[in-house]
Order: sequence, then structure tokens, then C-alpha cells
Amino acid sequence: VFRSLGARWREGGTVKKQPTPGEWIIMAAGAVMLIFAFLPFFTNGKSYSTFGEGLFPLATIIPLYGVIAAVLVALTVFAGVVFPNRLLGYTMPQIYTLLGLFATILALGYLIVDKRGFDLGVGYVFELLGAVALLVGGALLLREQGSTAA
Amino acid sequence: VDTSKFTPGVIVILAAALVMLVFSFLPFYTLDVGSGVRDAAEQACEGLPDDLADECRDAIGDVGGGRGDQDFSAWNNDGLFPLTILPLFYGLIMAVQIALAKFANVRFPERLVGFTWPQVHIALGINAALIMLAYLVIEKEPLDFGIGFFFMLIGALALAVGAFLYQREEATSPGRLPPPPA
Repeated sequence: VFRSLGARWREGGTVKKQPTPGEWIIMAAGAVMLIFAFLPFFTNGKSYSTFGEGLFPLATIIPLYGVIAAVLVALTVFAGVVFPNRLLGYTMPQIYTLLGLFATILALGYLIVDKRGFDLGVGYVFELLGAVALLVGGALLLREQGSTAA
Repeated sequence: VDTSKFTPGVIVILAAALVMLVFSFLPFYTLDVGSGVRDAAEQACEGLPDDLADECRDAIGDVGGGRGDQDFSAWNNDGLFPLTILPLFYGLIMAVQIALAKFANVRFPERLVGFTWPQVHIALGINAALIMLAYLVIEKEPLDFGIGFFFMLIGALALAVGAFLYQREEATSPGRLPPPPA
């Protein structure tokens, strides 16, 4: 897929620009968070994904934030969608950073909460990693934006 | 205190955070132990020797709170804390920052990691409201919502509204620098 997209970019097709490291990280984090949203978040013999009983929709906010950020970045990079300079007063890198920050805080909340006999599942671990990656990607984009503006 | 600093946005945020703080200590969830079960248990206690019967009734009171209900505040460490406290935490950050800036004349930097303070408030307010709305939808059987939950929900929604009001007030206040270009 990436080779195909790269070729289209070189041919001047629908791909509008080469993604920056921050954009790659956000898109990868969003993809990982989407996939692992369906894998066990908590386990105790039975498995519960972020869509499971007692978790949806609070735990689902974590991958939702990742998917929103990844889709917005992908639209910008691959579809050439131009968003307004500011959305609700925020620049796009600021929005990605905030989505990453609040996803990370929520994921850390689930790390601390008394899980009443449940164990953390592989889905949780990758949601936390994805959230942190989202935050890092957003921060990189903020810096990239800052250096571009300068 | 300069009363002109009590703008609608400031009042809404301060009041919302105060309401959330107070009601965070009241029942977020309640569990109806069931009057039928309690009556049966109390009847069983009657057949015991006096000292054991008292102990038995105390135990029922402990479980049922003496009213057939067991209450869990947002601070309860049994599957709620710290997730239920996050909206309060966000609200307190907002209220404390505004109170210090407006009434204690504490000078904060214009921007926090590139974000203006109204931007920080809106992000915190929206997330507080979103978490409480998620708790409104989440599967909670056999628990019921308590009064603490409803006032924390109202407080969180008020935080989000207050943050937008505050942003507008700050944008229109005299002597304010325009935002830098994106």
C-alpha cells in the first residue's frame, strides 16, 4: 500500500505531499489503536475489548481519538484535503497533540484503576502505546509547524 | 475583589468545579441490596443468640447502609477511581488557574506549551463532559446512578460551556493580543 501511495505521489497523482515523521507516527498509531480496539482490553478468563460490557464507550474513547487523528492526517496527506488554518481556535497539530494527550491520560487511568480481578490484555497495552505515540506524533507536528513558521 | 472580573464564563467554570468537587463525595453509583434479601437476612438473625444477633444485624447494616442501598462515591477505589475523578481533576485545573489569574493576580505565561489558556480550558472542559457522557451510556448493571453522578455530569457540561464563554470573553477583552497566524 505504502509503495503504491509513494508511486502515486511521485507521479503527481492524488497523494499531495510526502508525509513527515510526525504524520507517519500519527497514522501508524491510529491504525494500531483501531486494530487493537477489538482485541482483549481486560481479561479474566473471558476477554473484553474496548467495546465490551462495562468498557464501552469510555475505553472506546482511546482508540476513537487515535482514529480521528489518523483519518485527519491521512486526508491531508493522501487526499490533499485542506483544513482551515484553525478549527475551533486550534491548529491541526494542536488538535492531534490534545487527542494524544487525553487518550494517554485515559489509558493511564485504566492502568491505575482497581480492576477487580481483571488483568490487562494485549489490546490495552497497544492502546496505551498507541496513545503515547499519538502524543509524540502530535508534538513532532507542533515542532515541525513551529520550525516551518519560523 | 474586582467584581468586574466575575464574567459569566468565570462564574460558570468556578461554580461548576465547586459543584463537581462537593458532589464527588456523594454517591456516584448506588447498589440496591434488595429489601427482600435484607428482610430474609434480618429474620435469620432473629434466630441467633442475642450477642450474635446484634453482630448479624450490624453486618447487614454495613452491607446495606441500613437503607437497602450501598453507595459508591467517585472516590471509591473499587473500579471507579481515578477514572471518575478525571472530570473533577480537569475542572479543578480550570478553576484554580482562573481563580489565581483573576483574583490573586498571579501572572501565568501567555501560552502553555504553545496553547493559550482559553484553548487549555476548552480542551479540559470538552474532555470532562465527554467522560461524564460516557458514564451516562456505560453498562452499569446492577448499579444505579446516584445524585453525585448527576451533579458531576451537570458540572462537566457546564465546564465545557463555561470554557467557550471564557474564550469569547478573553478574545473580546481590551488589550488582548490577536492570536498568531497558524
